Amino acid sequence: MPAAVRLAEKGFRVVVLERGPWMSRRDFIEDEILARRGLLWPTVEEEPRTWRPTDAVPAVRLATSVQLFSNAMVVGGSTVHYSALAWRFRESDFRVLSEEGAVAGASLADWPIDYAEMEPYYDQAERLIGVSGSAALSPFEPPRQREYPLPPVPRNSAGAILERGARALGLHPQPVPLGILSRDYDGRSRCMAKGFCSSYGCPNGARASTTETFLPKGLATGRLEVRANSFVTRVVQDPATGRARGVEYVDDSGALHLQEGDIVILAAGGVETPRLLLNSASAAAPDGLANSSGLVGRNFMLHSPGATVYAVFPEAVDGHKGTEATRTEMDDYATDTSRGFIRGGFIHPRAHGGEPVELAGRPMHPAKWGLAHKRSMRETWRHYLFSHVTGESLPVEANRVDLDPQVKDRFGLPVARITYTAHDNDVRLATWFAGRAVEILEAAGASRVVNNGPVIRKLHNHQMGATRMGNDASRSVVDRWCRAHDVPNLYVTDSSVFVTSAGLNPSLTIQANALRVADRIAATRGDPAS
Amino acid sequence: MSPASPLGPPALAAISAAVERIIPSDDNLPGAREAGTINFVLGELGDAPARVASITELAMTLDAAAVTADPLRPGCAFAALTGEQQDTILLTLETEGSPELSWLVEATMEGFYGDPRHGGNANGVGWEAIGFPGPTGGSGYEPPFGWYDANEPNLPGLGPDGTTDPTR
Ligand SMILES: Cc1cc2nc3c(=O)[nH]c(=O)nc-3n(C[C@H](O)[C@H](O)[C@H](O)COP(=O)(O)OP(=O)(O)OC[C@H]3O[C@@H](n4cnc5c(N)ncnc54)[C@H](O)[C@@H]3O)c2cc1C
Repeated sequence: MPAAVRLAEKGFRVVVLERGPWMSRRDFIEDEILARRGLLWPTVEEEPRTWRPTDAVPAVRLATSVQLFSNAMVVGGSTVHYSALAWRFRESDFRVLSEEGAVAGASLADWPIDYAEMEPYYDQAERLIGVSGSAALSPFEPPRQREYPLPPVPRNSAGAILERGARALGLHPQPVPLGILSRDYDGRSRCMAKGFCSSYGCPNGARASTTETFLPKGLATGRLEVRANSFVTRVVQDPATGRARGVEYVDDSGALHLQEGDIVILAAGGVETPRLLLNSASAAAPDGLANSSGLVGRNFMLHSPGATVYAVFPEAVDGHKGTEATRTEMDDYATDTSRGFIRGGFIHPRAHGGEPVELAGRPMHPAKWGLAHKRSMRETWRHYLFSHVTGESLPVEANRVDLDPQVKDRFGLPVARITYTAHDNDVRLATWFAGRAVEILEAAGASRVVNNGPVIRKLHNHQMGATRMGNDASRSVVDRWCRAHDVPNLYVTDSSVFVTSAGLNPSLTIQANALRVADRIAATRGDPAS
Repeated sequence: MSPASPLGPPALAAISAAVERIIPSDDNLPGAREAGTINFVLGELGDAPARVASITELAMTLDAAAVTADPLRPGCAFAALTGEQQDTILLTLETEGSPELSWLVEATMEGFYGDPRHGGNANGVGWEAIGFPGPTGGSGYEPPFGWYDANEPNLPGLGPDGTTDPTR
């Protein structure tokens, strides 16, 4: 969406094709059951996917519980219901190979771009979407030309607890930068702290869904058209020129169309973009489009298999109010090899929102049902929080998205098969950070802490790396401008282009990079309106 | 008994009894019975014939186990056992890893703690039991939200609403 809107503003005529519906604020009902049934996500029936840990094991279908957290199917994509943590990656995140040296079993590389090249685009993205944060209160912030456009959102009790525990340990708690408005901004009104935040669409538009931020500006140009319920089945390549002619898509009546274009940009997310390229194989590109390197789908990353840590506190946390994560500490982000792993991450204790059914299934009750469970629900609902731990995952070439040889989707196309086993470093990192979260929550006075330990990660909401960016066409899929090495008018602007994952949520980097790529496209194509 | 029930009468009796043990009405607080949770469960079954079959089978398993559960009342139906006897049977099934039971537990939680618009959690009794006011409609909340943000000193320069940042 950021690239589409930027190009429309620069005079291009742009068509956005989205397989899901086009929803608006009034469709975002605050109802946990609907969220569990896939209001904003494809169900496993609509979009099955399979997973296996390694090539040696047959793939199994992913369960609803895994899939629900993993992707969106709506105009605006996952920004419609994301938690809106709006991080800039750090300088070192763009040069992991140089910083760390080669690591056995990992395909580390430096990005072909650096933080300095990204900084102006981070700045633009923060201002376009309205990020609330404070550089003055964030001691580990990378260099930036100016303050965040908005001050931090109000702190919740989960944030205050993080502060309390971090201070007790001599750490430096700071606000989490959020794409949630702390004040009215750019015609949108500030967050009302209604709860029902992450996993729900915002009924006030205070969260930086691209339908609130970029889309209205694109529509105002008169040059941007959004076609919802339009499932792209393949990119069509002209065998004579090697250029992309356009894409084929199925509309909601089931009719197949060809949408031609001078330029094709894929932003279908970290799983669907590589799947689409592989499903676009032809006589000219038998192993999939843009795949002469054989790397389409490979180096897939899901962030470290972070534990969720649950904690119960003596006083009320009342996590059904407000947004989820408001405070964190970045003290532990940089590599410290004495911990037994490289790279790092951060801990974000969260308010739980309006989700008592979710609490009912959490591992903090003495029983799964019955009187003991009922009592525990009563004792924990107003008193508990959970902490996510996000950390870097190292790229592994064998971790990949390819086409499942058996399972087909509702259009008869092979679905994505995920082959994924976290690198040992990721597991050690996740284990250490879970311990850190326990330490902080205990220092803050928790009466009980439950650490569910690192999980086996099959799929998750941060999906990166499967069309790697690089200068060497034999070792990457797209170039530094995110243009396919093999197809001169085909671009990728989602997190598939990430070379390494950083230990931070990806969306601001996706958006900043998409703006960078769009500016490049505009600059190199001249003035298309003339 | 709703005429639209996808379960036959014996199965409905056993499943209703199980649901009422999953969230019992003890402690003088409403449980699944008062919340009408079974209506939600039946609604979920209505859409899925395969699920109706497997839950009917679960009911038969419960009744079969009930036959010998009470030495004084051989041949009893599950629904006629005491709560403790019912719990013993359910616990055995849980230990065996019954997928039907875990489905029923989840559906019961949804029909007790989920939004009343789906047929369970009548009058919001499930929410009231834990202290959740439910969705706020057109309004929201103002800080402080909980005890800790009201009492823990904030970062320098940030007031209680968090946004009085002097640098801006
Ligand atoms: C619950 C949750 C919380 C999150 N929290 C954060 C956070 O706090 N901070 C952060 O930075 N990130 C967060 N993320 C991740 C973030 O939302 C994603 O990284 C981001 O939205 C990815 O953007 P994208 O455009 O690459 O892909 P998506 O947002 O997945 O969008 C891709 C879109 O393409 C559509 N599509 C796919 N295939 C096709 C096809 N063949 N034809 C037509 N359309 C297609 C999909 O339906 C989808 O709408 C969160 C995600 C979730 C699910």
